[in-house]
Amino acid sequence: MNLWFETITVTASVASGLVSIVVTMLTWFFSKKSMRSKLHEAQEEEFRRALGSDKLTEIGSYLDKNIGNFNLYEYVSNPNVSNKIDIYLEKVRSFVGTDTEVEQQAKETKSLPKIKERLHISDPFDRILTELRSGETWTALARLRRYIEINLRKIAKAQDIPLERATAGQLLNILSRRGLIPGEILLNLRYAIAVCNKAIHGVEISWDEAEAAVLNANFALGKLKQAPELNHNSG
Amino acid sequence: MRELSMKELIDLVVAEVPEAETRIQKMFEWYFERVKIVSQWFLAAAASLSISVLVTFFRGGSKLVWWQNILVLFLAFATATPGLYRLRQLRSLNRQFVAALKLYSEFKKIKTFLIRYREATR
Repeated sequence: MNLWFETITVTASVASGLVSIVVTMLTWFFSKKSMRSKLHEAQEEEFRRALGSDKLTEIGSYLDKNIGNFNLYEYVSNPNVSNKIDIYLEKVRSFVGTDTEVEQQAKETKSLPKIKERLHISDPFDRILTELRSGETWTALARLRRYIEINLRKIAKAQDIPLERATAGQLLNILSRRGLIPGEILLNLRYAIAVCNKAIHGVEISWDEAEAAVLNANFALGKLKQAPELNHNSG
Repeated sequence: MRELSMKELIDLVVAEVPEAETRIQKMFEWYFERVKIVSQWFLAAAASLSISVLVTFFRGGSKLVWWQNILVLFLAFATATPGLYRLRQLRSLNRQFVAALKLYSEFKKIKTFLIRYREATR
């Protein structure tokens, strides 16, 4: 056999063999590297910040940019990825509610409860109303629901009821069953929470409905603050 | 086709594609066939290379010296590597299909929110 021909074929064979192995290994290596970097980007802390921001765009962009970057192969082949995505999805789902939950709650917003006493509108309600006027309905009502939730959680804490993970609606139900929410304000709070849930879920809310939710919450929480027996441990 | 991303599943939900589950199934069937064929090509090439070397070697009619035989076997192994890698990917395809349907249904539960978000960022 010609020496040149032999050298060229041997070199070409070895080179193509090595290229094939190296390319496969690089594909594997880069897919692992990309999975690690995506996991790093989808940090728990960042997710909490997104959910705590009360901004539609921040929660949505977290889903798009962090969760959205994972692919199905990564989801099924890495338990860390699937756990993270499942937990995040569950948290987002519980934050924005499902169609069925919102449909059920929509019934509660059909009749407008009476506000028995006109209370002064103070912070944060005036800030929420300003946001509503500027067209930031989602942000305003997400903020309102968070404020209601914080206040109900304070009552639960003051009464030594462990409800760390409960939503605003669940907190209200549990506290009212224990007789900790006066009957005169229960409907007002239920109405405000239901309107907020509808808005956060993405349902179109009219100005009247949104304003009524703020006024009902202002009245109900104002009344709750006037009941010192409910707040004695809250500081 | 590269693997479906979560963002693409969200896009399917937001676009309200009719019979999306059937389309996902079709996509996976097509993907499965394609990966299977590519992997078969690599493995068949590797098998024919190694069989031809081994048969001529054991029959004693080979004109290749020992290192050339090893070189061809190495080449066969190198050809088989991408095929085996693809085959490994294929094993997870059923699980990927089930995961796609499960995640699609999860995203569908927050469809209204996702649509509202996309409208806000448009």
